[in-house]
Amino acid sequence: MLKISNLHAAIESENKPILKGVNLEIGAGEIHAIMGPNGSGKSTLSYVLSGRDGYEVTDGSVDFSGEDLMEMEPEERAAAGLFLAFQYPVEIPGVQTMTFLRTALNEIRKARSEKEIDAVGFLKLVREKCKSLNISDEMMKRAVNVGFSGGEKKRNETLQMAVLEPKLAVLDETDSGLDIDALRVVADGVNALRSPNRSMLVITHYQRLLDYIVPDKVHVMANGRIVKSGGKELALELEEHGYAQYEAA
Amino acid sequence: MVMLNTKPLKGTVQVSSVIPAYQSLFNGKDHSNDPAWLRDVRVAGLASFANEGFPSIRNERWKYTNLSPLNAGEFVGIEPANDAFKIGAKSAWAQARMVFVNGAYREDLSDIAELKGQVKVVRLHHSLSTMKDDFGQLLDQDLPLVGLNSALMQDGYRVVVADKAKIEGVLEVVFANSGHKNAVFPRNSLKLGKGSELTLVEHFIGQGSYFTNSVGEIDILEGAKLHHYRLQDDDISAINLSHSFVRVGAEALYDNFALSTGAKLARNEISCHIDGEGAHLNLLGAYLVSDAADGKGQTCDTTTFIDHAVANTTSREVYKGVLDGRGYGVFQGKILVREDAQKIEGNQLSRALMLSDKAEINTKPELEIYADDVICSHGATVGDLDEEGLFYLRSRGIPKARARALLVKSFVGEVLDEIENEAIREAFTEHTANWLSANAEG
Repeated sequence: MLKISNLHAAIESENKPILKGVNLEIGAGEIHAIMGPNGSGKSTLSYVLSGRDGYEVTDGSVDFSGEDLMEMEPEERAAAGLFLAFQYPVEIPGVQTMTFLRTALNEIRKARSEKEIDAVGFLKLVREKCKSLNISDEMMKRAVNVGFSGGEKKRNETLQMAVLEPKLAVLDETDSGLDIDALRVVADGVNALRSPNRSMLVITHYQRLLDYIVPDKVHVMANGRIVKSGGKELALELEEHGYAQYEAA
Repeated sequence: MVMLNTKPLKGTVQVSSVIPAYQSLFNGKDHSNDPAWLRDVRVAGLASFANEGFPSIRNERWKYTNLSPLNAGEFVGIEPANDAFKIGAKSAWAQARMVFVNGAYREDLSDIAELKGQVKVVRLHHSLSTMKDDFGQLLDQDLPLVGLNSALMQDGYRVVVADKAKIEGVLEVVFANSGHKNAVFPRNSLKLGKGSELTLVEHFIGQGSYFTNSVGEIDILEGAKLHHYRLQDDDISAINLSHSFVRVGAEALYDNFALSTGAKLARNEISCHIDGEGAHLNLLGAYLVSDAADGKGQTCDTTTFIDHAVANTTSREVYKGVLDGRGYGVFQGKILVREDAQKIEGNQLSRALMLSDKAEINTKPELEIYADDVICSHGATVGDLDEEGLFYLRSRGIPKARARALLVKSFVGEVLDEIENEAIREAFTEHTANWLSANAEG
């Protein structure tokens, strides 16, 4: 599904290397977690994977279902089945969430030479997804993320994921800014989207999220590299002992 | 009544061939049918123009908009109405329309039957002999462009709505121009009786390098409501300089929306005198500019003046500009609150979205306040497309060009959504979307 090999990346404007040889392989249907201290490169990895401007890949490669991910535009990556759930979802005044999401779905379908969905069919689809995720469809009428609470923004991300049905979802600090109730709603939503055809990469600072979204594998990232990998019990160990031993290394 | 406090500057007279050009245009016309008072107005108007010519950028009011393309005096053509330029059917949102082609009324293209009754819709030309007390009362003849219009104006619309008449349906007035270096001088007059209501759309279209110098007088009596929309979709080679003078009475509403996408050089100037308590003013608009036909940028200037002459009056201004290519925008907004005009609220906002490094805008808000119990605000922002928003949309599969268009559309959409008439709101939104797909995508 996803194979990251020796990935090096730098912030373009500062010529500052952030990722210094990341290796990671995620199989179909697997959930992997990346944990690490602030500044370890976790979020940079999610941006580089999704194609955000401002990062330069200086070495290595990323293979996504047989395609060279780094050669693709952000919209092409989405069409290929990649989804990034943002740590800070962006507010877009004046664009209704419904319009935005239908445009996105239809652009992805167009890119895949699939039939576009009409307004009525889309409304039905969204209602179904909202119901299965236990999310109110009221937010579809509002401008994208404008005036949304932290919890609503993350629920909106989950709903988008449910509608766009990616092969790989990267969840960047999904737990940040959420209280325990909101976290549970979002985690339930994510769990509902688990499937043998969908892989997930959960990026988080805290172990807390992994109580709800239980990973198959946990990786520790420090100083731009993955320094340790293990099972879900590794998260508990990190919670207890902290990251200090890895940062020193 | 003189309602503008700005006089032409002395000592800025330009020696140019343009003054004699318009003098001879004036002399070549037959004014024998004009009533004596009108001949006096014309002569005074010509003198006011001859005093300064087209205002130069040394004139404070024209500091940011350069009229030098007019100074060669080439725009003196008077072409008759012709069929070369096709006028389409009446817009879907209009119940009635008047059409002027190259300044001349075209009865065959006009259809005003639907609005007859409590409203008089006629050619100004046919009303002039009876308009002595109504003509030129709201405007400042000392302004050279107003003077030029008075000297050379032939026709336009004259609309008088009876007291308490609420006119259903929309009146569209089309100003269609064609030809090479043609000059047209529409003169319009609109009067809303007490407690009446009207929706009117001025629609400028054309083909070629013509010059429109339009002047309008709008008198809104006590408790009346005017929804005045304007779509300036002139040819990209044209020049359109328009000035509306508005008087708003007690408890009356002047609701204006101007959408501008055409012309290589355009100025829409609105001067409002609020002289009755409880009156409200909405000046809203959007302009979209890019490269002009000659490879230089389009210029679009919005200049407003609001005179809060009495207490308990409110005004709101929102203008949004989208500037692509070498597009050039100007916004000048002056709000005057006179002494003793307490409990005034005046809010002004100008926002510009720059889609290109070569685009440029000048914004000049000006508040002049002589009363103390007043809430006035002005804000001006100039910015690029939000990169974060663009990436967010692209990360969801929306290609870059479409994502850009969506963001620009939403930027303009915020002000378009304020158009009260739904059919016109949709038509203006569609016009904006068409402009964006032709200009700003990619």
